[in-house]
Amino acid sequence: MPDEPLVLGIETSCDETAVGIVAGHRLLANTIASSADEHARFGGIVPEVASRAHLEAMVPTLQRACKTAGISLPDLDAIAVTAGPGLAGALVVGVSAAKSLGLALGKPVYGVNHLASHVAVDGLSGSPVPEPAAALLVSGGHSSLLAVTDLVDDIVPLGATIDDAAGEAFDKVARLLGLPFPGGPHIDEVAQGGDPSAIDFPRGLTGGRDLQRHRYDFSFSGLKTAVARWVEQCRAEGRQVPVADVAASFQEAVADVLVRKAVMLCSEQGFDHLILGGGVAANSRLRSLAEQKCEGAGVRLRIPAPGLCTDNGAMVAALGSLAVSRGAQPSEDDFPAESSLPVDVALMS
Amino acid sequence: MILALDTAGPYPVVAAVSAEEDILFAGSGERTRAHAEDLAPLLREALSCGEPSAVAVGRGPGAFTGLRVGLVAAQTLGWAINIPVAGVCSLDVVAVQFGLSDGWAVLDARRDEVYLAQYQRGIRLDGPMVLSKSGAQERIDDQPAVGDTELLRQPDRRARGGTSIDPNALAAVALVACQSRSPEPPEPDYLRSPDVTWSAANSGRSI
Repeated sequence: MPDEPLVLGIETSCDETAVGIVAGHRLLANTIASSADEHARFGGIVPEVASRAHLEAMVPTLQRACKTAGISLPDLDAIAVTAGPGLAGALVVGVSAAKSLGLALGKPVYGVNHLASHVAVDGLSGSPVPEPAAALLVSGGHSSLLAVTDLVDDIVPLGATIDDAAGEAFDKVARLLGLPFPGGPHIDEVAQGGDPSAIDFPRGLTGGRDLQRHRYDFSFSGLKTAVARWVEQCRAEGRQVPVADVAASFQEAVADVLVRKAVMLCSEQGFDHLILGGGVAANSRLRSLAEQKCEGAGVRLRIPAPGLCTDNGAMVAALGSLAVSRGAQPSEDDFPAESSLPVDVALMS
Repeated sequence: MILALDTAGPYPVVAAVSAEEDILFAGSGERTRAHAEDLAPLLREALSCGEPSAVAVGRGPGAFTGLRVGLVAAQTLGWAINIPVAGVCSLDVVAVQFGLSDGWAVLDARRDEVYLAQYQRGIRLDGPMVLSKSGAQERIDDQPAVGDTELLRQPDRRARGGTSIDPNALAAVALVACQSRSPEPPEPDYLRSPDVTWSAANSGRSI
């Protein structure tokens, strides 16, 4: 096995056509073409629009990544690709490109889990991913707490959202406040000028029997409804909606619940490390609150750079490189794209 | 050797053909809606027959998700080993497969519509296009038609499994395309805009 496997990773699970190249723990390229602007006018991702954009962007993105990394294709040790979870029609574009590239070059192909990749990308930040560790993954489609014992073959989901994902709540609240899609970055920006304690929005599943039954689970649907009611009430009384305060108070409620449960998990299950990942981990308040609370609890917090938190190809390459260095079997030629691939399947057989 | 592939129909189809027009490999998948799974094993077999000097790929019309599987595979392969990639109209393959000289090639487009193209002495004259079944019947009238023609006679029914592309016919069309001085681009011929409805847009957020 090469010490630093050179792996190209392809990610097309949602609206980013992304290609990353890594050599072991070194990031060589992280190239992204996004169709987000095409979706903004619809207020959400339109799967067929995303899939069409993936096909158009695939070869140009591959080209740019190879140029950035300064590698030639025959130098690669393997190809990795997101096999799921994600949008079915979008995933197959990446999976088919990866298989074809593997066949053309005579290189092994690893179909990998998108969520495990979000954790694996932490290994590109200068030191290997700590194992075992707890991981909090928060994005537009997921809000999960994981126990990661071995990134390649032992990830156990301990909690997840029972309704909306955190990123979904950001999108919906942004729409309520008249902010553009995607909601996360816009709410983050507007919230900078607001008071996070102005409105006491509910923290879902954090008390009484809910906490017993859903110890490590999340719920953001009630929070979204509470924000909607508050805004409606405000408008009904003819008052101007204090957008910055609403955004800051909403963001505080989300960050509070996420961090509270993640730190609780670390304390109760004895994890020394917490890894944050997914698009919502780019949120500035979530990052600062997590830093503060982890320090208080004696937990070492690891958060990838914002550009590696959102969907990217480097994270896929990082997990692929780990799989190569640990001698994992490549995927078969006929492995499928699985839109609801469970998080405990890190590699496709 | 020329590598040819098409994923516009219900099954992926792959052929490898030598410059002397010998078919070195011809194969099809057997499962519907499994292009992403079943194309790669066929490609591996085809590539074991020799080094391709060009690729030809079906650009549809056909079901969007399947169509993209073949197109992205062909584009990526062509880029990786630096060989030209030509697009072929999947209806041209149907015309060749049924030995059509003058008339229409027809494929199921679902939603009470058909894809079709018109041929004269084996050359495409018009199309590809997508029409309602009744509109297609009107255009075709009493001219010969091949492919999913039962749809036209029984407008309320779907084609039984649909016409399967014959890899040998694909190889023949691919040879011509790869020898052409101005081949069609290896890009999809969707013929339809993406369906965007507000309800879909509102619930489409993912990952």
